[in-house]
Amino acid sequence: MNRKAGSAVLFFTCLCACVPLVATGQVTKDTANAKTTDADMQYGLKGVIIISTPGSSGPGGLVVSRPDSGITEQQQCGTLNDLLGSSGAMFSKYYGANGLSSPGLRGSSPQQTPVVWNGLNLQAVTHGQVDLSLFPSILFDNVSVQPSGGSSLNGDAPGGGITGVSYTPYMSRQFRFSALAGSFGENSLALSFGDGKPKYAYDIKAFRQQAVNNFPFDNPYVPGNELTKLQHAGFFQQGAAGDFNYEFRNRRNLSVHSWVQETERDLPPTLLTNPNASWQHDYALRTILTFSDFSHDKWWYSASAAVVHNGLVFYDGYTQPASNTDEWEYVSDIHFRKHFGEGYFSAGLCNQYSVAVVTQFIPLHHQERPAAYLSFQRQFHKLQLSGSAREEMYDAKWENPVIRFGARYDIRNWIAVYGNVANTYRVPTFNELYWSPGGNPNLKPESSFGQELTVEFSRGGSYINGFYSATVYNRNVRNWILWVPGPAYWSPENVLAVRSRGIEHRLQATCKLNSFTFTLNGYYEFNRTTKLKTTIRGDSSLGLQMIYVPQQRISGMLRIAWKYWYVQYVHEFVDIRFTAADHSEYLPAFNTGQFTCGTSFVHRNEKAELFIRINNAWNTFYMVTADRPMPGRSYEVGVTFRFEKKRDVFPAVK
Amino acid sequence: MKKTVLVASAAILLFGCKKDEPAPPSGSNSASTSIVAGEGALVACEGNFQGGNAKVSYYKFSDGSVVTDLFSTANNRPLGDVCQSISFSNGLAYIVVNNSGKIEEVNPSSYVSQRIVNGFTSPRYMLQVAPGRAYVTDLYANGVWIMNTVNNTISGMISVPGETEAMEPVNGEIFVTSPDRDQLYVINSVTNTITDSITVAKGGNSMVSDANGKLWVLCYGDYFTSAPGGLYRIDPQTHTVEASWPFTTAESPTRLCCNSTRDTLYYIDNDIYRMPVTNAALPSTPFISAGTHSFYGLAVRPSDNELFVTDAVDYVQQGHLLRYTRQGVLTDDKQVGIIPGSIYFY
Repeated sequence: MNRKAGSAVLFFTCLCACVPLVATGQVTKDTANAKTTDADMQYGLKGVIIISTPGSSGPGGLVVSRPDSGITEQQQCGTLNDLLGSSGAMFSKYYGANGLSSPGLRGSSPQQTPVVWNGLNLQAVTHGQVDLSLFPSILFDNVSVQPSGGSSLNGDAPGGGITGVSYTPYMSRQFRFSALAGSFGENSLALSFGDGKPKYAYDIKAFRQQAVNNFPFDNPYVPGNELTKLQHAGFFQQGAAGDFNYEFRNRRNLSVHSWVQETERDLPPTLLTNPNASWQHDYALRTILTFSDFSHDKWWYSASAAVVHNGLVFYDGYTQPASNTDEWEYVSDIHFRKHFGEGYFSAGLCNQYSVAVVTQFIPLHHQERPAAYLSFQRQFHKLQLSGSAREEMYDAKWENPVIRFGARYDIRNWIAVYGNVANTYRVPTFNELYWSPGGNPNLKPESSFGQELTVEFSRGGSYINGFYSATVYNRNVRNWILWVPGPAYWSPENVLAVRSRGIEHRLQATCKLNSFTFTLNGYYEFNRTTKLKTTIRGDSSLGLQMIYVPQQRISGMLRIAWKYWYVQYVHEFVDIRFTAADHSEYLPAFNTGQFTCGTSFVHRNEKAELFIRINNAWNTFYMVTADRPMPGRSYEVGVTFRFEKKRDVFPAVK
Repeated sequence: MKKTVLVASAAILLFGCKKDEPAPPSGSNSASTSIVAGEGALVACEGNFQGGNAKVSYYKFSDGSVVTDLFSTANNRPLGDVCQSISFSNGLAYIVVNNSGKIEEVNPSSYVSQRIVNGFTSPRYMLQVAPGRAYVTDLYANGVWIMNTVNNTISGMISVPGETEAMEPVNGEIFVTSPDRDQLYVINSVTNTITDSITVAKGGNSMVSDANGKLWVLCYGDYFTSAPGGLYRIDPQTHTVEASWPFTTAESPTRLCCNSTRDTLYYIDNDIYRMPVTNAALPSTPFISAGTHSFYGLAVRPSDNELFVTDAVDYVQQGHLLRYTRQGVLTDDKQVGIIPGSIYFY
């Protein structure tokens, strides 16, 4: 059986298994009443929680930004990389079409930037990264980006920031089908359906994405910039996810979230490397089971357990045997919360047990990390205070406690100031600890201390509403782990102290004028991420911007909607990125633009949407990673059919 | 209140907006650079794997001036990915570009590309073995390529079970190391066939012939099994190991070379060590301590036994070419390309 055929069989087997087994519902708590919900909840292992607050403020003084809802709808057939890239929500180090897309916020490394799905950290325990190209947008009903660290419930808390993702409950019977076709053999399908009854609710989602990616580009390395076609860059992934929620007694709920997928990628050569036949196969199974008891007026508790299996098979295209990465994670969490007046207090215990093996490179290893955490939030008229603390055991030792404190003060109804201070840490990955040769079992966790302060101006009204915010931030990371050359081979060591600081501006405005609606989003970031200290011998890059961290990034979106029609333009500017630590080499800055126009048809509970999109409309030649060309101008056509009938089947949130 | 807010906002807007600019290029990149034989040293700067920033840097003995990137200046295009080595024959220079799977034939004076030989898998070193014929070792091809240097084509392959790396010609035979095997292969360069193999440690990476006609092989061992490396003295006539000196598992010796009279060996094992060929034991103290450097390449200038050493720093910034007297005194330090490796006196 060839690989494609095998993949199809696996996909449909998993899908069939999922339908009866997972029939999922979403979580039991309505998040509409956001102001009483704390930031930390979204990172605990339990159902839901992404909060909807006006402006860019998250709870507890944290900055939280979300992709534009219109772009989210258009990217139902894409990946998180497409969604977050199109919306300007973050900059990821993207290795070209179908390649690895690793997130970084405010100069953080990919290992410091987790992606969280329904409270579950998706970072691989071996290499500590996530690949946003592997996460289909359809599986994430609600996406938010939190640029700073500070969640003490998340365990391996980031030094750099969090992308939080989560489901929101469907309180309706719904069916949605999206299809997209585009240049260079791109085609994607996404399907979801669900229903909610008084006792249970579920939804099922399935997706299939593929592309050939044989796009032409003017090769700058060939005399006369000869037109060259990218080779060996095909991509195929498919999977399914389900959520099931059952209320078996008075507001006592059992929920299951499950997600299975596989991805196959041919790995294209860089502009200057020898073509070869390398490929990579990723697969994953993630399941979360949660019991929650909301039957009491003043308190509730929940208990969760999760199992994650990540696999990766990599073949380098030469004569070396393929390497297999197999990792399992077992996560458990018990959470208790007591409400009082305008606030709450919560506490919990959790444990993460990880096992991983990489053929040829990492023999079987396991790791256990139990932790306890506390958090509180209290509203005093215009002032909201929140805080949390976490103590975790790593390598049989208690780590320094992680503590966060945040505050928000609404000076007037149009202006607010909020901020937080937090220390965080990152536990070394299995690769860093055990890779043979070079793994260093004596590594210390990275630790950081960060602060951010935001001023936000908001305006609400029937014709014009929106907000503008400016944030200044600073973060110092100690014991930054880097692979450095040793006498025999490279080995990770705690070699750097890094400081990241900068300023961010966010603007969002909506104006309604007769039948027209104008939506304007803008984002600007200036970031300086530099080495403060290094133990690398002869390192002359102290005080210089670190590699692959743009100093400036600007993105903006303008959408003009008229009745059922809209046109939309998204522009992004990314500053130069140094590729050599001493700034002797760099990738030039680039501007890209994306045009979309679309329409929708509504009939009772049915809605059909159609759009046409021009990516890289100015046909800019650019590279995000050295020697990996990005596609020039390309076209996509997408259609979505949606049926939705509202029901009220879930208990109200407390 | 509004004024305070505006002032605070303006302060935030202006906060800390100091921007880094690209560093000016170090050394010279003059298009009119002309290399005169005997006046300088060439450095094969590997560049980052898949970074496409391989370079050939040039150091002029007389004034210590450096041309950082000979090739792209002369050809208006980058050299490729991982510049592994340079070979000279028939008045031409051959640049072996490992991860681009090619060899660039260039004019050694101007570095203008003459021809490109493609089709290698992961080439490492090239050695002229007969008029119009060269061997090219390869990391992944399971063999040694036979290259026709007249029409610059690959004319065949000598199969070897594993990686092939360094080559040394002795009495019409070519000795080839195989880093992932504990064997040193012997090839008859007339028949292009393997005639023998000699057991050494894994990690064979460099070889020299001494004044007594003996062959010295340096091995760094096996990283995966932690098997130690060793230094071997081999009789090339009988294909037997005459003597061997094991290293510890923590050591990883590389870049074996010798002085002009071929009676003293030099190698890098974090520091630089010097060992007369008559020594009964490995040197216990370094000849030159690494100190703040990350030594990566090493060569001894035949004319006066000065040592030229490269420092790769952290492997993601420009490295250095260091010049030492024969007594080990540092006399010059110049910035060259990223990951400077092999050094050639042309």
